[in-house]
Amino acid sequence: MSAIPNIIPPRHPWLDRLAAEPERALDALLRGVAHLPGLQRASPGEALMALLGDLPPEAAEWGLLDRALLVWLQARRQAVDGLLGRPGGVERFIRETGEAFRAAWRLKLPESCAWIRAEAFDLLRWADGFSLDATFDLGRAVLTAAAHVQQGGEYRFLWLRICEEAAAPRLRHRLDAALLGLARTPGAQAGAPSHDLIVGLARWGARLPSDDNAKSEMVREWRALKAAFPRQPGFWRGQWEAVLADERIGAHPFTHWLREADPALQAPSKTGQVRRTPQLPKDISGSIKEMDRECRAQGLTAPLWQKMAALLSQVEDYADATGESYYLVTSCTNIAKIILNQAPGQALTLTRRALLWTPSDGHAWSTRATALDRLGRPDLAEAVLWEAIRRVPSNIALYNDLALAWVERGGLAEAEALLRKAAALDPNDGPTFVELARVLWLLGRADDALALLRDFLRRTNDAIALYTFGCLLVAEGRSAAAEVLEQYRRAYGNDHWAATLQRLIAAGTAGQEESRQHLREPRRRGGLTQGVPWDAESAERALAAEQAGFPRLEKIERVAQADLLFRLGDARRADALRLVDTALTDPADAYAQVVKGLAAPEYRVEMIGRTGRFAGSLPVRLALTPDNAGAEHWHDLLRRFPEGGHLTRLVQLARGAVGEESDTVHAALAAWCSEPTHWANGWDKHLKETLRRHLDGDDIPVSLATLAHDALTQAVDVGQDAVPLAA
Amino acid sequence: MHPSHHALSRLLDDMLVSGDVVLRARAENFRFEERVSQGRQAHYETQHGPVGATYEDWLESHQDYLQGLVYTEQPETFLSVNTDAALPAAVTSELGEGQYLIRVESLDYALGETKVGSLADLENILAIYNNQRRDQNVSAGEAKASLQEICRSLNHNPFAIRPRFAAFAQELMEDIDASDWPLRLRDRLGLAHLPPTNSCGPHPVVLMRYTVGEVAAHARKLVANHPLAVPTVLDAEPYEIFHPSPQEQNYGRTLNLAGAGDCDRLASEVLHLRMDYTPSHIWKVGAITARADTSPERLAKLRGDHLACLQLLSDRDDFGML
Repeated sequence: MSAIPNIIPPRHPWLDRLAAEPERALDALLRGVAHLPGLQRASPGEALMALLGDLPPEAAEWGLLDRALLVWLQARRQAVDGLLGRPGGVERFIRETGEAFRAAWRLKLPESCAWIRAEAFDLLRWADGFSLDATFDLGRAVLTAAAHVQQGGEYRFLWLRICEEAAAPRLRHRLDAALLGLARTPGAQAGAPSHDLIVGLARWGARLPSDDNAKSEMVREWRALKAAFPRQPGFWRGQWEAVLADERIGAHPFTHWLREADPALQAPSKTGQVRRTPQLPKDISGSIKEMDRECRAQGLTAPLWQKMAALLSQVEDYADATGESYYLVTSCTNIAKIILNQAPGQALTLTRRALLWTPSDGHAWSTRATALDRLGRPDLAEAVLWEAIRRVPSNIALYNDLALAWVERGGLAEAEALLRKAAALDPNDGPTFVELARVLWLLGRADDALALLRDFLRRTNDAIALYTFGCLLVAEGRSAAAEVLEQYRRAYGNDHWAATLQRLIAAGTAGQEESRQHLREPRRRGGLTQGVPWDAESAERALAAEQAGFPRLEKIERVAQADLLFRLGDARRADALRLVDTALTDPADAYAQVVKGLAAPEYRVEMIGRTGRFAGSLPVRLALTPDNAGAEHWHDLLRRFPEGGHLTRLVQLARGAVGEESDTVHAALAAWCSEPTHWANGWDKHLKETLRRHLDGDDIPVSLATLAHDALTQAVDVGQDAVPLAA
Repeated sequence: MHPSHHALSRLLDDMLVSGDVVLRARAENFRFEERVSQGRQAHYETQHGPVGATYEDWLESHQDYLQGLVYTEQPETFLSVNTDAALPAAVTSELGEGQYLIRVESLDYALGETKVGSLADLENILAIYNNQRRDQNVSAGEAKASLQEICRSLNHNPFAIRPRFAAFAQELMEDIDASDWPLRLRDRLGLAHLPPTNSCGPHPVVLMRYTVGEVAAHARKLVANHPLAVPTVLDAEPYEIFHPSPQEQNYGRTLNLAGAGDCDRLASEVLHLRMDYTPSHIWKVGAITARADTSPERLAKLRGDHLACLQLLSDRDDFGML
């Protein structure tokens, strides 16, 4: 850029302060208390541009500012409480800190930008607490900074996730940041709009309500995008074609709104103008079943793997074109399951790929943990399971897998608690009850174990449960074992299990001991396996990626364990407190705040007036709501977090809303339960179904308090979504 | 305005005899101020007086005051405590509400936060929106949607919550109509803090235009005591490119960076509450391409001439005399 023909300003006195005391000088400037002749009423960002903008690139002040800004930002992240007590409170904190983030990218300060780039996901999680409204949203400042400092596609899934979240009116303003991020993603054809802009817009649109206001918003956003990237109608038609043709996406009215508002999207594409629309393979499910059969018969051969890879590539192309990841996610997880024993490295990679698109797919989480187990990393597998349970508390397989790990290390009380949760979720799940009975027996509560299975078998026919019931009777030397054997034979014939049971009964004391030994044996989920040779490289890559993310998961794991221990009662309370307080050495840890808040009423009292750093986090605000909160408190939360109204009301109901308030809460929750659920949100579906039954007065094993508890821990943003998982 | 706060009073005394033009100017503004009510001043001094005797202490305490009571959803600038600075009722009368206010906003934030990546693009979009240009790939409706995005950025800026300085369009028509309007308005409105730089280039700005009536309607929604106020030293940071106006003046008067010139042409300035912009408020976009001369010598002369004009216009030889 040519030099501005202008008055050469004398050196500004603030630059001398910067040279002498960089950190203090910058701090004063960002807090609005530096002496800035000529610039006193400029925003800090504008002031910095004016102060340094005419210095040559090699001037020492650039480096001084960069390092001072980095130190300042890092310090801000750590020390918050004292700053929130100043006049101006949270708003002032957001304004000052947001300006610092802006200064980093606006002045292209390399060290600060590199730090923001490296920490973006954690910074966003932290900044989310400081999100009051469209004006005061530190998260938006972080997102805008990320949009400017990104170097490639590292935030692609972050932008897409933010597009989805922006469908909530409270976060509507973040759509601009997300689309900016997608528009600025390096790597796209120079000057051309990235196709991901369409995908992002579609993801946002697909989550909007179906009212007129949403329609106006959608049309307006689409028009703004067109104005920012002027192109001929055919170009846009080509961009939208696959999205609008998708059955799942097309079910949402936003596709009609767009067609109605824009004639360019009404006509079919002409040859030459079409963006090549990827086609979905025919009968994906049938193809995968066939692959499963082939794998069982011939093993995972190279040609079979090629067939699998080709199918995955095709469904991924489709997901890229439409943003609809259902086929990709289900294909990845189903194929991962098929190849788990022979190519656990590839299986792990596939589950990570699925989770990148759909971060709360319980099946993918479970398979990911199993793949880690197969690769000889039960520690990583367990950490994955803890986060999976937090994220999808309705997935029974996850509880069972984790319980097995606890049994193995002797944590029987923990295992029992996990299995009881699973049992409450599905009172007819055989594996859960079998394992729970075994755990009870291991705990020395044989009668409880027998009663549990007896009760289970009264309502469910399950061969393994009946067999286990027989084994337990043998182990306890009870004569009723013979009757159970007969019952088994009548129901399932004289199979291998019947023969075993007969042998144990016939062997007398030796059989009793063998049965006891059998019940004590660890039930691993498979453990280390020897995969096909060509899997080694992907295994290594995927494990390295897992290892890199392990510290984050480990932190979550500790808090999740504390949550479980709190539920075990007073005996384990001290252990739970130790774990959660360790996590709270990072006071920004929202998950730890929620867990402690839910478990310790005295902590809720202690935190009164100290939740400023979580002003934008509904789960924390709800978990820390004191028991004596009045109607005004609930109304304030409903007003501030309209998108989380169901959470607020659920907690209110669990805390015992009464009278007229209770009727209002019931009605609002009933309305929420009838809203449609996205296929990828298994927890949401479960919550709606279970809550509906509660509202209908059904007698169900999951209490309202448990439901509210799980809903809150589930809703915490632990900063894992959209973290690049693909190995 | 003569503070009774001991440390502040002494500090101002020291600053008034300083050889530093800027410090002197900032202290003068405080002493020249005639519109801050006793109640407002008392609260400022008792609750937000500097804890120490240094200039830095004052900057700290003044900023705390602004953050707590002025840079808020309902600044005390527009509450009954500041009635002394309210504009005459005639301005917000039915007749007065039709008057157009203008305000220059920096576009640097908006261009960095939206998909509209450049001033040239924005200029094109604005021309399409105003039906001054046709583009086969962008309709007026699409241009409007794009301008709405720009407005969102301006409206959601955390600094947008500050009381807004604005001027009357009618007084500045000659400058607004000129091709170099950004420079002219920069001078007339005292916007030295938006300079172009070698690193960042010309400073993009947008000229907003809206009626007093719109401002008043918004103020009514927020149950403000008055919608418009004459700027005082308590409404923003201490600043040498600001000069309080005598009580006899119905408005504030901007310090013209191009020189006071004809005293009758001093622009009137007012403060109003934050108000959301819409595309129809966007009048022009442009760029400030040169720095203003705010050297100490120049500043001293500008302020001296400005003061003389205020004395003349108000027929107050005593105004600004210490």
